[in-house]
Amino acid sequence: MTKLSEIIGQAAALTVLKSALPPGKPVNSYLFVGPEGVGKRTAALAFANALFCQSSINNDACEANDACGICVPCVKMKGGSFPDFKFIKPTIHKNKTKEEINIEDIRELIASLAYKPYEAERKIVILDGVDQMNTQAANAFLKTLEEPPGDTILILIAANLNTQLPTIISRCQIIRFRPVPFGEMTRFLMEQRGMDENQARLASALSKGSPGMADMFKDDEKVRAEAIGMLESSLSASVGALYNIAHTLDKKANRKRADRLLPALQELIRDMLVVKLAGKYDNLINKDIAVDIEKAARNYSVRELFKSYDLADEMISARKWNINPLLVMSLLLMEMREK
Amino acid sequence: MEFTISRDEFFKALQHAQGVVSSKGQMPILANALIETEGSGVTIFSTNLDIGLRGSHEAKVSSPGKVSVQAKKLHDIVRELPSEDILVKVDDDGRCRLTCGKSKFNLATINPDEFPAFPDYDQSRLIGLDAGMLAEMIKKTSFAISQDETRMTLNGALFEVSKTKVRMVATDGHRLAYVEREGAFGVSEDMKVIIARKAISELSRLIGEADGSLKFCLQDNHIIFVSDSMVLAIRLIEGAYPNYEQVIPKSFDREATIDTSEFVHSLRRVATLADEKSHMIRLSFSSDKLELISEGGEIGEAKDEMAVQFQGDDVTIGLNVEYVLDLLNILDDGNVVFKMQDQLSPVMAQPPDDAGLIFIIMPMRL
Repeated sequence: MTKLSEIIGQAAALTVLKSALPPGKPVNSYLFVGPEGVGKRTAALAFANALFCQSSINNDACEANDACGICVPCVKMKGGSFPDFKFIKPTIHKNKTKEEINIEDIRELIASLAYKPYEAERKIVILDGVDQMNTQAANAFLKTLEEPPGDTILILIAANLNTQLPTIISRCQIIRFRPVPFGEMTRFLMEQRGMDENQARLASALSKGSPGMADMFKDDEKVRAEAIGMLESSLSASVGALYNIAHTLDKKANRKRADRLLPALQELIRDMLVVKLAGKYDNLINKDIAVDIEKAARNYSVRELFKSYDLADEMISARKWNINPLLVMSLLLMEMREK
Repeated sequence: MEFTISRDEFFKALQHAQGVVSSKGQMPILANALIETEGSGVTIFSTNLDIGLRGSHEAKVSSPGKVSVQAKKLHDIVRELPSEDILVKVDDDGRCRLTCGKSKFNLATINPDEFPAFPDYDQSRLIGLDAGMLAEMIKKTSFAISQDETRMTLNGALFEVSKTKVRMVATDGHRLAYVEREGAFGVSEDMKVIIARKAISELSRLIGEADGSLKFCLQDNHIIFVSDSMVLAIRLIEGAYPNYEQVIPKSFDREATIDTSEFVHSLRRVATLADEKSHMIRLSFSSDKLELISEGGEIGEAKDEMAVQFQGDDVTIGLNVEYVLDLLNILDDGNVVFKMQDQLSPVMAQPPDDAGLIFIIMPMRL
């Protein structure tokens, strides 16, 4: 679990949070606000962990103002089994199509908060994605938010302050999170993630200030290699073999990979188009493998590539609707094969 | 870790353990039971965080240790095994292996250190309590515990202990049940805790299996009940119980003594035509006579009459017939005394010879 001290680019937020650790006193309700991916959830978890940590409770000088990572509460937090901690996020409820925090979630939360803490001094609840809490649930939650039972601390996480009910905002201390500045992110990627300066600057620029997104660039190379492999197979392999490729990506553990492969494939198709139409390498995304791209492009006509590009687009949005990867990938691969 | 346990002993233990596990929710480990060797036996601990149960069982321990495995699966396996000895062994690879005759099972485990700690309690602070008495107190109050989960403080029974008295109180806002019993409880300070409805029923189960005596103590946020072989840890409800003493009237202008079983029969007859939503019936007390009337609107009306001893001016009171039946249900045969002030004040019911037992019902507007 990331510690408070390992969070980058959120100095203002961290100052407030650290001052709430012993001997300071946290307030009952926090609202973490900021764009997606800048570290709100990570900070909320680290903050909860630090509040539970034995060393922070005993206020040992060595690990003051952060979690120690080795005491019983820290180990249990890491394992996701700390009894006085609850993490609530939007889920797709029965007969619904989009993710939501609904009134059932809130009722369940209220019922569980009625009990005194199990082993800690207080209970802590993180509600991630309160943007997706429906109005009914929000209203049911107000009383708890105003007076959390016992010493319970509620940490709400939202991307946008404007979409929150004023009744929610007025009950919370607002902690703002900002995109991590370019320089700080570049330094972080070089020092902590071992990127060279060029890589780091590029990843930092593309990450939109989100450390999580920057991290993804680290293994981008692997994803691209896989996408090239797939492209090659789509030309030579049998229909059955292509089905098998799609099938492995449908496995639950591989779904995330499928979601990254699709854009990578689309980028390759785009580069092939550029090579074919412009005949130059200047504007390629995958400039470093321009020769391979040109070679691959010879197998397709411009029309085919346009068609495939559009199809990839469609498939990417299909994945957003949770259409299964087997269907999406096999459709795309078959299409590329048939041309 | 390795031990041998008889199938029947193991099965009984797992039946208990299985009853309190929680299979849904964020903590997969709560679906597990923690089995730990202890001297010349094993303890089995399971919890859903609100209720934790730990039993001690005889077993032949050949090497000490602890393991956490899915309680339900283990229970299902042991249920199907013949009445022989079962060898339980945990290997270095973290798998739990069960051998019984020619049957072999291999179960996944979760790191036992992640298991919620059983609330530590100080043996020397345990206070003795008559199990039969506690059972009676639960029986006479638990029916009045609120079902409304939005008011959790009422969703349990109040358990109060002082040096010489123990009390249990339950209310749902419309009615209240109160039992007070005497004894010598060496508590250093008065204790006042709320025990959740679900925990009350688990406690009843524990009492059912305890032989006569039970011990208990308060430990931080838990109340611990200890019988011969089991320990039940109940997480307390947060918040203050409403001031129930305010609701119990102190003086009355009217008093009726009614035969319980005759009253029940009469109420049941009249209840058939009581309004289906409000369950209201009218009780008209006059000297020596009680009239019971229900008005079911379009369906019809019912009227019954019985002899009672009544002191005071005539009065008609509207009550929820279900509430009256609920409380008569748990009273022994004989008489029940209804004490009233006026039409809109709380009605108090008591057995004539037991001042420690009080029921209150709020009347309905006629």
